[in-house]
Amino acid sequence: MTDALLQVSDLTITVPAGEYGADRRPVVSGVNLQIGAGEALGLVGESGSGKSMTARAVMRLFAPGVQATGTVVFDGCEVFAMEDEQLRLLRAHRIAMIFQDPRAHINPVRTVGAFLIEGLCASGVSTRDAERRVTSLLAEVGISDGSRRMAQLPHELSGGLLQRVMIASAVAMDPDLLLADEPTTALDVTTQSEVMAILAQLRTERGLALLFITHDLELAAATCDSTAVMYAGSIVERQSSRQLLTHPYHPYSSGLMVSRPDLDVVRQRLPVIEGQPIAAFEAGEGCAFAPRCGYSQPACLATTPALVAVQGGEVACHRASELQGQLPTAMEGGGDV
Amino acid sequence: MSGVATSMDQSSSDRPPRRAPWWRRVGIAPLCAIVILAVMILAAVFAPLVAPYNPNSPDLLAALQGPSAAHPLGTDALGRDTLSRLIYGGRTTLLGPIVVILLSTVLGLLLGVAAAWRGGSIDTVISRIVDVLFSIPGIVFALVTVAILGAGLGSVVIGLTIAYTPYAARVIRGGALRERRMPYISAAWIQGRSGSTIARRHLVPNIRPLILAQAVAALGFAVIDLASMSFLGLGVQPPTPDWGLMVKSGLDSAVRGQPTEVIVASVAIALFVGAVTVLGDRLSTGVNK
Amino acid sequence: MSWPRFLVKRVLALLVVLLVASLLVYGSLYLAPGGPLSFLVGTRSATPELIAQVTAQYHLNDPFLVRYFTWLADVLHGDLGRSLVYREAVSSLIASRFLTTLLLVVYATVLILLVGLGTGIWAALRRGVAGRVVTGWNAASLSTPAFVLGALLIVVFALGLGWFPVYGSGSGFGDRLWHLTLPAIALALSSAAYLSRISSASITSEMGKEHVETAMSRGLPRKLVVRRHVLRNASIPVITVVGLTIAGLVAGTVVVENVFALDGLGSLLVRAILQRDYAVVQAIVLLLTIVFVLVNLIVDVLYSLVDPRLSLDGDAL
Repeated sequence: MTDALLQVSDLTITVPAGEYGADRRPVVSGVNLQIGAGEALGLVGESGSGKSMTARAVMRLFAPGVQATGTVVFDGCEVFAMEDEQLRLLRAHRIAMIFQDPRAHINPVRTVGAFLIEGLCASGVSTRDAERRVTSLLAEVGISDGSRRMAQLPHELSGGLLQRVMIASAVAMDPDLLLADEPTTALDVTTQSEVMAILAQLRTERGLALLFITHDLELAAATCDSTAVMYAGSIVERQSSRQLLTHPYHPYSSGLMVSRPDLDVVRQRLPVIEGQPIAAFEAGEGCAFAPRCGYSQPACLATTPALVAVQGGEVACHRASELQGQLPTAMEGGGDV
Repeated sequence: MSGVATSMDQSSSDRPPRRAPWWRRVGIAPLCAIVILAVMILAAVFAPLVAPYNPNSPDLLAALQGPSAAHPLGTDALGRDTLSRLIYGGRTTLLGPIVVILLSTVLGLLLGVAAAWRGGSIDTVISRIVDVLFSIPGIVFALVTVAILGAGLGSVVIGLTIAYTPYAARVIRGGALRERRMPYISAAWIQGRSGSTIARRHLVPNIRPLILAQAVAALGFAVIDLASMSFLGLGVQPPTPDWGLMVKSGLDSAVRGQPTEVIVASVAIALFVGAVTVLGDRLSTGVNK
Repeated sequence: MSWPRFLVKRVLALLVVLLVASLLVYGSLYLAPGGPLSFLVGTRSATPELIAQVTAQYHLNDPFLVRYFTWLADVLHGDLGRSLVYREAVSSLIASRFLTTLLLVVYATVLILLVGLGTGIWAALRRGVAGRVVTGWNAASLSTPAFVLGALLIVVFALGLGWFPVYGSGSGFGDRLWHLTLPAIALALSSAAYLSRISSASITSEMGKEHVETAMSRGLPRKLVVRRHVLRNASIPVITVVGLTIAGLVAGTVVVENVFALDGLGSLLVRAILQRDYAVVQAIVLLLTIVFVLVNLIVDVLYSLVDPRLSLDGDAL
């Protein structure tokens, strides 16, 4: 599909390692994904699975020393090949990002207002116009006393309010694509659902495309059109969200679902996926998930499964066709993995 | 949210790197620093064995010479051998600061641990005194002491000890306060040990790295302050060889055309301070880890 | 806490410190071996006139606290006593030398700010070779005491190359500055290195902060991000260091003025100590302490201005 708004192909990201940074370790390897205009894609994985790095790669937002190969094509433009100025304009006008911890991600010594109008002012909007625009934006994200809030410092606002401020600042420039990196993880549960509702509303009103990064598979599936699951730097499954919830192809996706606490069912003990998640550079030959997988067979340890098309999506599992329809889901309550 | 989805720790997957050889772990610069300090201290201790000449025997015919086979570092205005004076000079130059640091660390330890351990009004009183002492520049104490007791190494050591004690006390109080909140201290309380025993047997040994790092860091400053006082004529008195004094007399020789002595003494002081600083940095990064 | 209350509280604390310092300076006289009279007279011939003068000047016949407060009242009225050596009012001795010391401190401060901040910012923003060169230079500078550096500067630039005068203060403003250049460098270098190190570390840590990532992700020009988010935030710890450094310079002048034979307060102090001219010692030590404490107060005020998060209730210690 070439008409996608965002097309990520064969993305591999390495970080320096070893005593003088001489070695390089992959943290993302061979990721492909695409998002159409106005579409929402959820990217689910545990910490260290490479999902945040993947999101940052979309706008080439890397710390010094991080290297990426592959291509990221946004609206026909190759992001990795852009001149600095072109990249700056892309970040300023087309793609916006909201981060997990708004308290760390907003400059603590400048006022909320200064943070909000900064992007607009840098692209030539007058301070007064910018202030008027963000005040109405704040109302849209549920902050009615905007002008009072804008005079305050970040530490005077709650985490939920700050995340709304962050969202308002992200949509202030009318971007086409919003990258949301675990936007609700640092918030308490009630605030989480409010923030998700605001995101969903803004998205439909403005026709925003969304790349939603989370470790919560069901939250992603509830919010997004389709959902991709990452493990150890690679995508192991991608499906439409609706189908993923009922018919996961990959044991890992299934494991993520059943290990989530359910409000309706009382259990003695929550099923868990045994073992620790690993990073891309720790994965050797064979399926990276095999050591933790309840369904693994000797063949799984021999070769790395490729991501292949299945009905309604893609999966990277040697036993996908055998296991189809047998994996437990959250809906069924499921047993142990 | 137990199980899969919760491990937030990015580095949990980092395996510890292979153990590097010991000299790699210490670091090249700290190693050089240790060698320099060892050479200087050993030379000062064994000065009579190492020095080629008597540091105080003048030879006016050989005055103000540059480096030669007979005098590798030349001679001073009175014809005394600069190398010998450098070696002997290490004694006062290094001993004075070490005494200052030992005394101020012991005093700081008593004050700091008492303040942290007893807390309450004792802590308030000690902390306020330390705060006030902190607000007065350290060299002022040294100058006033010298003004009262007269110039000499002893006066300067007393003055600098007063000046350095608040620093030691503050650092040690901070460390002791952190350590006091540790569970093992309450465990010792529950076992019925007495307060002073716990402080002596458990608390102090556990903050020893902190005490050492602070002492070494302060040593660099003490060397500078003490040599400065000697240079001003307020510390070590001639004809005793001392690096600070050698800079002073060497400067006069330089005006008369022979800069060797002042350069030699300057380099010796800078090397020693540099080595102590490097070592102090290394020790304090060890503490912070 | 409101601003006026904050200031009143700080000024009161400052007065307490000054009171304690003055008590120390005055009281230490009584710790002198042989008692104050023999100390003050010292090796001078103890003529009845001299004894009478000293006894009267230091109110030696009154009880200690009365003497102390009489002395303090005199000091507050600007009467710092008379020098036994110069046979002159201490205040006029100080006044005639104050300018040299002030010029030296101001000159050194300018150098410290220029060199320290300049190299610190440069090293932090460039990294690589520039960073390593600055790090090495700073380490060398920090290891060199001011009097050692002063001696080396004289040897190289005054005696060797002949670019600068060896000793003295000079006359006329331009000539004075010329004479003060090497002393100012000697006084400034290690402080500049310290400032460079702190500002570089502060900037580097700020560059890695999440909020800077946010600013970059919004497509703000890099220069704007550096100026508005990195430098502004990094300046908060740097201000403390600048303040402490300048306060420390005041004490450093004592050494540097002696290296370059400058006729300032520092060389007056050392001579007074050696000649047991205690009225002069008391006055200059008090003056040094006042300046030191005042600079610290200014830094505290600046600090709360730059960092809006800081509540004025916070204990500075």
